[in-house]
Amino acid sequence: MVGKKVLVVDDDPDILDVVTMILESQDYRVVVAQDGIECFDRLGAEKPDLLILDLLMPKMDGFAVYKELKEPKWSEYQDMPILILSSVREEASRRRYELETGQELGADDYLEKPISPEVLLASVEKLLGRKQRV
Amino acid sequence: MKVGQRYKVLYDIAQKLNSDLAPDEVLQTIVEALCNAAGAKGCSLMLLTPDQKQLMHTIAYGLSDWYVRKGPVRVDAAIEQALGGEPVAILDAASDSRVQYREQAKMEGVVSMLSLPLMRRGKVIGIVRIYTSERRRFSAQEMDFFGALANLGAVALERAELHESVDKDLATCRIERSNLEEEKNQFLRFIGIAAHDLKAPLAAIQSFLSVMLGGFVGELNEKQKHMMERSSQRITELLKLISDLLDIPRIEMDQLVQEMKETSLVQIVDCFAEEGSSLAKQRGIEFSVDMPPDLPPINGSPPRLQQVIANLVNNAISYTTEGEVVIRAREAGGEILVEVADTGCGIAPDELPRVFEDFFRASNVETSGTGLGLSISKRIVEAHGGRIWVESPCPETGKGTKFCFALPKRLQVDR
Repeated sequence: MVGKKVLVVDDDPDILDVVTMILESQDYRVVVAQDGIECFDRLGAEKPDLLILDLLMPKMDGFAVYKELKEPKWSEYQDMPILILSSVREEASRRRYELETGQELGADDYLEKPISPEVLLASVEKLLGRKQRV
Repeated sequence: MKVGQRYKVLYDIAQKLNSDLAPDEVLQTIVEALCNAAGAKGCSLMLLTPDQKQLMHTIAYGLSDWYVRKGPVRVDAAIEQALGGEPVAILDAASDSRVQYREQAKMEGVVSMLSLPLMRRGKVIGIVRIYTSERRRFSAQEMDFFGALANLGAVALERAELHESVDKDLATCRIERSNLEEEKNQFLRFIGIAAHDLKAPLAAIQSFLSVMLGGFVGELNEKQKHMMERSSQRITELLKLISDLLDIPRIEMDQLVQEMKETSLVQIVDCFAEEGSSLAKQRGIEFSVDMPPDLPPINGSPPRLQQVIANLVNNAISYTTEGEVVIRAREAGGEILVEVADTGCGIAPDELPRVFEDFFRASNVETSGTGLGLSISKRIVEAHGGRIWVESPCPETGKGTKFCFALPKRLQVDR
């Protein structure tokens, strides 16, 4: 069986490497992007099953990506779970998004950096509805 | 002038002066009212220059422009008399040697003049002059009455000037406040970026260490593992220090107020109870929560209050080797009182007053904290309008330490 595909968006190449290493160890297929614009380029071409999204990035940040994905034109991705992976505290990000857009940041999960491999894998598995391999 | 007429004049001028006038409108009202009350040709108001040597026409009514602008009036004997508080009447301006501009007075058609002192807080600030186009003698009663009118005007003038200066001050204050607000926001943005840029590289390093420690890139020997764990621990502490340091300006600049809402302390403590129990278990001590479920709500920032609870409980647990840690809460007066009591080693009496200082670390125990936890907790509680204090030994048990904080109850608004 082919592993599920995860698109990881982060401007820090080290974080991209870490996430890739962790996910590939469990046979996930990983595609990466370094900002929001690249994210949308990859999205159409790769049709990922899960999006792991950093928030503070140059060009188009994670808040803008999240907001854009809620637009009707991206409805084919409305079932794609979104995992936010940021060094900003969750409540601070939620408040900022609410203040800026008047909407709730309804991400499927929110993890704060630094990354703990166990926590990341548990979240990804939960979101993709896959049992952990023994 | 009849008494009834005077009342009418007085009433009209008081009515006008009592409305919201600018200083020059007040002056205009005085000269007009005096002129009309006296049935005169004109009236002018001259204020003393700061050196007190000249009078300048400030405002005039019924006089031609060139006459008003003829030049400054020297303070001479007659004016000195008026300035001394006495009215000065001149029957024939064209021939009276006390008049400085006789020719001009004649051309203007001024015949008699009455100068009245303009007083403010017992001090003469200028004179009001009434001009008639016929020979006229003013009775003592008339002079008294016009003098009183002039002084009424002076009071109104002072009030209008005060109003104007208060309005100006208010406008200046508003500008300054919005500048300060902008500076504050700029600084908070700077803090936000600094926090992110300081944490990002550490988060990457920490993540790499976790991947290696997790065995994702091959087996580690015991020594490697041990050193990486120690590195990881140091980075965790550094990340905590950065968060704590950058938290302080955020709390002090009142950012918390934006986060405040109706908050249940019961919920906040419940959220932390699980973590607290597991920490206590690791240390082999008891952990319990004693709060009435119907504790009234407070106005607060839930994540920040959770930070305070976590801080006090973590401290209590790490300073206690046997016994228990208890969180209690109750309503007391208009406040909600929260206590975190432990049966630990306590705090030395001479160190007690310093526990809420930045970077304070107790000397009787080995700790790895930033020394900012309690000082941040104090700032958070105070930003909520509350107080925080410590007692050691705990008065109920005679041992350990008890930290207490009290937050004002949320005001219930009846609708």
